[in-house]
Amino acid sequence: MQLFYVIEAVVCLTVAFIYWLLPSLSDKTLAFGARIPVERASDPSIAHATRIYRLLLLISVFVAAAATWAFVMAGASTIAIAISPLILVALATFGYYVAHRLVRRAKEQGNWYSGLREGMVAEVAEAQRATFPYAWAALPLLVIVATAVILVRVFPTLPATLATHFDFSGQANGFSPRVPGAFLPVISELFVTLLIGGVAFFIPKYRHTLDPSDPQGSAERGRIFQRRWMRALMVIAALTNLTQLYSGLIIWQVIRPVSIMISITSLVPAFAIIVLVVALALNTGQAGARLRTGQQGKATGLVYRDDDTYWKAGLFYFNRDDPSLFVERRFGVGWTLNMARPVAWILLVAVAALIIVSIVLLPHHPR
Amino acid sequence: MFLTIELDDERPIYQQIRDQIVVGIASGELEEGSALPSIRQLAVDFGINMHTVNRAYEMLQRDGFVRMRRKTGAVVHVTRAAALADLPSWETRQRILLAEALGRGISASSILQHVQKLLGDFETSHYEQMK
Repeated sequence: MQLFYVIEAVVCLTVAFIYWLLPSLSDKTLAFGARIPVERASDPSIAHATRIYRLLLLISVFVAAAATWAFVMAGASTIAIAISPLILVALATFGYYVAHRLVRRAKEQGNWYSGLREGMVAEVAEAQRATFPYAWAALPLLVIVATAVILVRVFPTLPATLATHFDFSGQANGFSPRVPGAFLPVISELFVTLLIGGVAFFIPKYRHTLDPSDPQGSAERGRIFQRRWMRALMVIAALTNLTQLYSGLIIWQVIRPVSIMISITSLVPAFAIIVLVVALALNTGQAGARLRTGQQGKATGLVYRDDDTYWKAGLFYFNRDDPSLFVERRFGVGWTLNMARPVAWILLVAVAALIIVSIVLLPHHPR
Repeated sequence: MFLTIELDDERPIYQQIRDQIVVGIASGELEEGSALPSIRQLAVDFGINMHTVNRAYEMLQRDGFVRMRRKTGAVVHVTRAAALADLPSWETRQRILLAEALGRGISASSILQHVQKLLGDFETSHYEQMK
């Protein structure tokens, strides 16, 4: 049980640490999801908003810790595992929203965009786009093949009922019939690889908003960002598959679960993923904001368009006139959906449904 | 090559896109046969409505600079004109531009000099592209 608290604390502190870093990952023209002229990045109101955000983040950590303690005291420790990171994320997001509104108010009161010419820039040459790294896609695929090969060899020796779920002390507490129980790891790997691969494949098509004051530099930084993240996603898919392979080895009784070892070993790939994501986020920033490469090309005399109106609460993008499905996030690294596109909602519902189905219909039954 | 849209400009967005592509073709930055981004992709890259991009491309086709193909999208394909009279409303627009300058007291020779310079810029740009 001690291990549980340790893992829980590590998870929450990692989440808090990531949220602490988030403001420094975005472009200088973005402050808590609000677009600002680059000259205003050093404005006192921005520093003020950052302090408020970090203060609220610290409070969130304490509240989440207190909530965990309360749940555990009430005997609901399994709920506590899931709840505390969620509470932390919810409160941190609220803190972000508060900071966002502070920046918006300073912007409106100070009339920051008066006299500035806003615009958008797009590149004409298609050949310049980043390309999907097919060679790297071999990584997750190799793990799937290895898993399938092992399954084929092991299948004839499997008993009719398999232990497919274990508690923290290594005791089996969930069982399934050989079919489909034995196939679960391979199915999971395929599903996850398709999902991650699908997102990665279309990354070059997602809009990278070019900086009108340096279109060439920002185009190049955007390409580097896309390339690195497509490769990282392939590695993440491979690591996730390795976790599934490991659980497969346990389910197929190739290795025996030895209490803590299950928990720790299965967490190693997850830990590696977190380290990779944080390192890459710090390296590239959002959309290449932290990259120093890219020559300074010709400035257009224009500034980024102030389209805060389309960013609801600074988090959700809603623009009917924009045919994009995925756009770069305003806070954090990665992409988010254009909720004005019906396909976005379909995607969300589909993913949610798949997750719920996989949890509910998971063929575990306690003995 | 980069296309720029200025939101405060009095010209509508489709006009700005169309004008820049025309200049790009004249200066050699956009070569005969080169593909323009698909309507969807350009609209995505700008974050604007596809109808706006479509309008710009249709104008370009109508004006003889671009050919729209179902499969490959818009391709630079210039229909050569024999005389200025073949360019839709070019002479009318040119007349107005000249009137604006002459009417405000700019001398004809100044205007000619300026026009020479602009033509020279296009030629220089062509040489740059060929290197």
